[in-house]
Amino acid sequence: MTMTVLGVDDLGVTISTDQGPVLAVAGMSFRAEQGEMLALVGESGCGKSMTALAIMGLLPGGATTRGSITLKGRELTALSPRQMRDVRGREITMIFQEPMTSLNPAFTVGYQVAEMLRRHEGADRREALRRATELLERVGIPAPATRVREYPHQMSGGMRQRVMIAMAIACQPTVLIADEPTTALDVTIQAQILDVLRDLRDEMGMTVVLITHDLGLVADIADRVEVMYAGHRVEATGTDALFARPQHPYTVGLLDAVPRPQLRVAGERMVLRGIPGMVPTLREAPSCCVFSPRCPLADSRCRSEAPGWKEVAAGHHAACFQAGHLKPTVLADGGRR
Amino acid sequence: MTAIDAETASARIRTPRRRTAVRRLLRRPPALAGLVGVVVVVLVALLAPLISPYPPLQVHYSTTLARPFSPGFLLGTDDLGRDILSRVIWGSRTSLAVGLGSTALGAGIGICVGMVAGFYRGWVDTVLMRFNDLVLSFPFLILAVGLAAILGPSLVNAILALGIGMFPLFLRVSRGEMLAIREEDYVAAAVVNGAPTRVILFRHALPNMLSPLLVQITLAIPAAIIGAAALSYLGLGVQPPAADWGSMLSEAQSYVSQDPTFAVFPGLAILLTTLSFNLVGDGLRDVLDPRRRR
Repeated sequence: MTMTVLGVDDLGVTISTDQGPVLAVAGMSFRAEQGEMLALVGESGCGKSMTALAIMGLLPGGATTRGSITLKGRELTALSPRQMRDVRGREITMIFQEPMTSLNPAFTVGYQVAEMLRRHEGADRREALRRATELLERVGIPAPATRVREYPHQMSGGMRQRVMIAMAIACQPTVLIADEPTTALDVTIQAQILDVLRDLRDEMGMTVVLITHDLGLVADIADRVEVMYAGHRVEATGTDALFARPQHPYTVGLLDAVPRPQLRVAGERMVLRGIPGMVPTLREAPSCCVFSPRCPLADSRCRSEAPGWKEVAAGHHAACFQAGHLKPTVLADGGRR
Repeated sequence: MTAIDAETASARIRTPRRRTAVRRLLRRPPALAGLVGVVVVVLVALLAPLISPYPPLQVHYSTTLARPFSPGFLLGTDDLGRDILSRVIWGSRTSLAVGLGSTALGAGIGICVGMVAGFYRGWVDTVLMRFNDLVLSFPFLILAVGLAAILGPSLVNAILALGIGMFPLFLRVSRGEMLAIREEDYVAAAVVNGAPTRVILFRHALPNMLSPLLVQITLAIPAAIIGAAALSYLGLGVQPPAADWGSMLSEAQSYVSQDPTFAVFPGLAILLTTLSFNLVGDGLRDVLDPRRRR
């Protein structure tokens, strides 16, 4: 039984800059089911974080949105700022990339976790602190009864990210958005944090939207993947299908850019490929495929017409004219100079 | 698990930052001397009824303008035969009341308005800061004298006048700090977790700007005490016959040729009190700056 918890439909975000408006997100749509780990993947500047901020209702001043964002069928874009504030933290919440600076240095971690419970659930001080201790234990902090009284500067990055997670889940939100939650952490700690997120998803049935550029992370933990490029989604499918049969040249490029030592043939080194060029800054909706300037397979059609969103297999969509008959080898050998 | 245990162990060694700041302050002789001075003045003010030899208003007609060390009057008497020691002791109450009261008022207004300006930025900030510049364009004492003259002479009005004269200093500091703090990740995290603006300002931002504000406050108190003395010297502060260092100086002025020591003791009291607060403020600034953020 699946239930759509978070629905994003044709979301557009335009940011006004000194050089004029910039299209940060251009018609993004996706759904996240209950208890699902959905990954939004793409390079820096592709609109992942803007999508997350739009969902939270926290876009910077001067940004305008269109489209619809629903949480359990409730339209979030129609809520007043006060109503939205009640939604944040209680029903939908977010953790950031930088655990070192995301905690208030002036208060103990226990106080900060307890504050969530006191604000959103009206728990009294003692009850909130007791539950904060439980939450710290739940996210894998050893000796929680002691550490609940410590200040953030007494903790390492991994511990602080656990505290951030404890704060985020304090009110058992429906959706947790994790924006690059492990980027600033050591690899060994990364795995532990991912385990924590996975356990919480399993135990609490929480929906996790994981924002990352790290495909290794995606392969490890995500159920489904939405690949974003320049404010558009270019491919969406289950994690296994994405890695086995990528259907968009951009996805193929991303996968080629991941080191995979197991592919190394005897005596031959695997070649790490980059994708030449950069994510473009869009000023208006393009009339061609957004990836065509960097795509090795682009032809005249790609440069004059935007490809539609088409289903190439059950539950596997891509926005590419070649999708469905894309052969990775063609890309790797013939396509590149 | 071993990795986590090692982490825990290393975290234990470090001590909280506030405590080390106090310890470092106490290790500086000037700051320590200033702190002792402040404590003494505060104790004198609190214990005035117990330690002053006479009531401050009691007159001794037979001994007017007595010199220091005359029998019964350690610091001598004034033109009406009131004991100068007792009046200096009681005068510490009004000086501290005006000094602390006006600083609290100025800091309260300045910090709140400054945080609002720094948090909302945009036109709110522009309007508030231009108003602030307007107030700042008057020298502190001139503004206070003008306000006290308009409000009328009294203890409460002196506090109001000095407090209004000094809030721009706090506004500047708190706005600057707020501009920096609003970009901090923990503020973003608080917003994401549904904290209302009031909580973000007072619970998240304020405690993190306390260090520079504390320095500002300890340096504002002596300025306010001198301002209070100036106001009552000009007759715009505490009214006679109440004991006050500023009005004592003003009275002593007429008798400088007959009894120069009359003016010395209230002047010395002002000097030592403000010096003590200044030494503490300087010490705090050295300890808490440069930028205490790790």
